[in-house]
Amino acid sequence: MDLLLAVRLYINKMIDESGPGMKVLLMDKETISIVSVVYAQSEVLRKEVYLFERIDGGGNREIMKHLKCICFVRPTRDNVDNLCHELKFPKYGSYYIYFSNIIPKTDIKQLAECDEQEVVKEIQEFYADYLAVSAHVFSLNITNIYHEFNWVPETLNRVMQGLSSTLLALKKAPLIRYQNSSEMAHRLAERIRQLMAKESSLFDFRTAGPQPVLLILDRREDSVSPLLNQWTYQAMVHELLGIQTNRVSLADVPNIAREMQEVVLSTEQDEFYAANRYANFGEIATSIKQLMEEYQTKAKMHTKVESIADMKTFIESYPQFKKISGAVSKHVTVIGELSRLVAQNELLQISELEQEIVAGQLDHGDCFQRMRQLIANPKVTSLDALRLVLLYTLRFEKDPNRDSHTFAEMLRKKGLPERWLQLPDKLARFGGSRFRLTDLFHSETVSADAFMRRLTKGIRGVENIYTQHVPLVKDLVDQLIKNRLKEPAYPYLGGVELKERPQDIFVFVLGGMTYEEGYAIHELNKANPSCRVCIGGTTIHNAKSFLEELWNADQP
Amino acid sequence: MSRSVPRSSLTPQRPTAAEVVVREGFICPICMQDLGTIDELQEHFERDHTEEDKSILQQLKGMLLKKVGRSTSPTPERRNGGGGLSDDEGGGFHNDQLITWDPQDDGDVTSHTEYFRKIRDNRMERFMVETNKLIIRLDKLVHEAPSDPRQRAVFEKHLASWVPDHDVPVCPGCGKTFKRFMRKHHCRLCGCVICTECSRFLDEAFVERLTNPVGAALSRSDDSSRRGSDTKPGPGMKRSNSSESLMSIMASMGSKDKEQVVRACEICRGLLDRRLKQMDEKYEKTELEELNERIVFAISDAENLYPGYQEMAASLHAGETNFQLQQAVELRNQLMRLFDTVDLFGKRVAALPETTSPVEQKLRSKIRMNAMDFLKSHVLSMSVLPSPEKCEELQRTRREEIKRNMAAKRAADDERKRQLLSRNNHHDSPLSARKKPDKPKTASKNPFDRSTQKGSSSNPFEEDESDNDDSLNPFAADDDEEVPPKTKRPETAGRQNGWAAEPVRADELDQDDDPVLQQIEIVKKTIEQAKRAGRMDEVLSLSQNLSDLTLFYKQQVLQQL
Ligand SMILES: [Zn+2]
Ligand SMILES: [Zn+2]
Ligand SMILES: [Zn+2]
Repeated sequence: MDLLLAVRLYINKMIDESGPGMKVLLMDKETISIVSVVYAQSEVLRKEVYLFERIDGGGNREIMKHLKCICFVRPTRDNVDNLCHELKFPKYGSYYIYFSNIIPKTDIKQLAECDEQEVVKEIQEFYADYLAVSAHVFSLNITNIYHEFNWVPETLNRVMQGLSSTLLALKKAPLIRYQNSSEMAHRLAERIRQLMAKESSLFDFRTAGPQPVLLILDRREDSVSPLLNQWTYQAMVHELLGIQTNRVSLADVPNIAREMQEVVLSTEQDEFYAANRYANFGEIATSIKQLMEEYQTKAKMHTKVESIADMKTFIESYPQFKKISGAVSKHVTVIGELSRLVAQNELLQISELEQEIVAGQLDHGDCFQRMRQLIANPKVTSLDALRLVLLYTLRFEKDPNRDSHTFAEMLRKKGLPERWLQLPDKLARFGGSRFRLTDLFHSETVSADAFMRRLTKGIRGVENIYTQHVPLVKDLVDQLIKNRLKEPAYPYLGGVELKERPQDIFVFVLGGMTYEEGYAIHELNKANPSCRVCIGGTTIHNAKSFLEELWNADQP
Repeated sequence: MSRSVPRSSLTPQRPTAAEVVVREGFICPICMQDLGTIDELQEHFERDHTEEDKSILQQLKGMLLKKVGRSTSPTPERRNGGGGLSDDEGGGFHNDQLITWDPQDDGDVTSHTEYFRKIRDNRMERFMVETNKLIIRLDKLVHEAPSDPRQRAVFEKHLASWVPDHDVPVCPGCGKTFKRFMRKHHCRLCGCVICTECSRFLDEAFVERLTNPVGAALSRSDDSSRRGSDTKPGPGMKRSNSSESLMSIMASMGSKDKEQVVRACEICRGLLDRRLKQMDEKYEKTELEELNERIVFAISDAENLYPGYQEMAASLHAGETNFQLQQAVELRNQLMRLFDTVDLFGKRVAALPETTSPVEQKLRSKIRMNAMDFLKSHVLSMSVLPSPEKCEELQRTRREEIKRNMAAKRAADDERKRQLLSRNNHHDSPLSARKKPDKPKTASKNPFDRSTQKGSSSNPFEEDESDNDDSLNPFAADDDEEVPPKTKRPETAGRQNGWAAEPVRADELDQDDDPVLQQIEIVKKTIEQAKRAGRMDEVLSLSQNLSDLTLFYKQQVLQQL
């Protein structure tokens, strides 16, 4: 159940099948991301893959008959047409063609009829049709899926393809459960089941033990997670800087060195990141500091390294440390920027209040006061203020004292664009209590586990005040693992039920997952060694991208 | 480490200047000095940086991962791609994986190759038959046609069975309706009717290459790009040097009469054209291809030898005697020669004549980048060998330490036995007690110390060398020269191929046995396991080992007597 390794194995296999010799990798816009998140260029170089080309990049690629072409593309109409043209006028000596998903026989026939020079050596389906963010997290990189809270046929199709490719890559034919309140979840579940029935020979996987389970959820059930500030490294970087297919742009950072304008954060190529992506922000700074101190001891130097600013100075004055530590200097830059933003935007205060709103016992009056104070604070950005208001809207949706007018005025005064002022209403329609199955805030329906957490919180009192919130997905999957997930709210499709506890679980969040949820699933995997849970989403949201999704959700 | 840092992700972007021009130069990672060549860098590294510097490198590398414990990925075959400093051994790295999932199988695949071939081959067969027919006709047209125009017309008509003019109201080539005054032509190859626009004459070189491929290939060298299908009919049919057979025919046919040359329709020309292209496919290897091949071969040879050399060097540094210094020196030279080869051919790529093609440029730079990456990651981490004197000294130190340890151990054993006897208590088995880590510590300063390179020790033979020897040979103290034959450690072979012997449990052994006998017992059991696993190579080497051990044991018994 390693989503990332599965993609790597596919790519290895493609390269191996073409044998020795100079190679070019021909891809499309989407497969290029699929490959680049799991492979470093230096790695494929060693395998004689020297060139990378786009099949949809427009005509004039040079003819190079001494290259072998590995073509890895999605089975779209455009790609098949382009490939037909490519085969009629081949630019490379031989072709090894891999489609990232199921392709109709008629398309194969059409291609075969174009291959008059007999350049095609292999033509296969390799089901790597998703972005493998890590071993247990995947994304389909599709945003704005809602149209009046429903699917557009093409999007549904694309999502169905992406999701089913993860099943094929990991060789699982799961039972399907879906969130009953969401018609979209239901339709997606149906499509997956239809596909499995139609391609029954393909999905004929024997599994020892209980049948795998696919749980399809709708983002509308939990709008809280994508609205919160985050404090684990990966989630925080995505929240404050944005991660796009492993890339983080630092171009807006003041006085940034040119080579740092864009950095790559990949668990495959960056061991520090792999080790620390779930670490708390504070912990990482500490571990980098330790690293520098150790280096000083070894190299018999003495410089004080106390703050992140010190770290930056240190790296600048000891270029050899920079060389040796490689990736670490990149992370010092990233962490430096994060801490600058935290201070500049009062994020600690904001986060504390956010957490109180979603996980604490705050009553309306207190909350109202503290929010007014914070929103009035000029250091608080209008985006952060808006997020607070949105959380408030959800939290006190039914509260008679709810005063959205005051906050709307305050937001307007902060200069929030008028169209964003509609978001609280949109959010109520998107993820308000009328739609939801669960009360996100004080719940009997939420698991016993969550209830216990709430009970014990007061007693222990040591919990990190910035990370009190536990995403709903964690509770749901936890119940699923224990085979206690409520049947009416999350029914099985087709009536077949699993009697035992499931071992292999796929969770899919249409409307987009969050890194906080990815981390939560990681924690569940750690706590339940007998279980293997993967989570994916149409995309991975941060607050900004979620607000876009929200904005578009009820548009026709 | 280098100036040309490879992009860490392969999203294609416009090549930057740094990418296209792979700059020369090797920078020392410790003092940042710029050294021109591998040799200089190697020399500098060995001269100016002691083992201690190297160990700092190694330790720092390890520290980066100390904080691990959160990584999820069970990564049986991942390599650290951008690590730069690491050699293939991975030094002291290892990720604590809290989540250990089963190794990932290959994902599902569906192959359409067979279906694709069937369709293509069917089609191609039709093409082939059709094309062959055309070529035979073409051959007859140019070689057998009578020169008398009237006879020739009859010959042509029959050869391709011409379609009657009046059957064809529309030109099949362009779809134009034939008007009364428009000329109709016949394709000499298939006999179809076409308009003037759609008919072309095949040029002599084109025909020659199809009907006489060998001869044509010889004469083609000067003007190979000319294709008949693009040549309009006309008086431009000049006699070009050496295609004699055709030219004589053309001459005899009298080239004034245009109708007499081979007129063909578009479809026929297309078929013939395709055939010619296929004949052209038999291209020769480009120089770049050849250079790349040499580089890749040298790299793969070096990658095969490299781990063995590192092991040898480590063993020699530890003062062990299972490898000869001479062997290691030779292996090192061999490796250096391979590095030189990689470097040399890399430079030859750079020295290729200028090209105007940006893709070709990019290709060259990538090939160079591959060579440089390889050199940088291997040259620096290559262990240095001790001098012969140093080597002897190391061995002496080791022997002495073993001796000291043995004495201490025996004393401890005796002590324990006494205690055991007095207490009559069997909790503590001497074998496990012996494993207490009081082994010699000389090696730990060495960054290439085995103990940092080896991970698990589920295999009885993977125990630390020194430990093994101690428990094996209680007599070493009496006779320096006689070290028991080393048990071959099947880790390299066994691990790579997914076979490893299970540890023999201490309680399976007779505790009162001589340690050598115990070792013999262990080897026997492992041989059994290996047999069951079908590992004949292991069985063979272990059997050799067993006989060595037995011999050793006998000698000792004799000596004692
Ligand atoms: Zn140096
Ligand atoms: Zn025509
Ligand atoms: Zn014809």
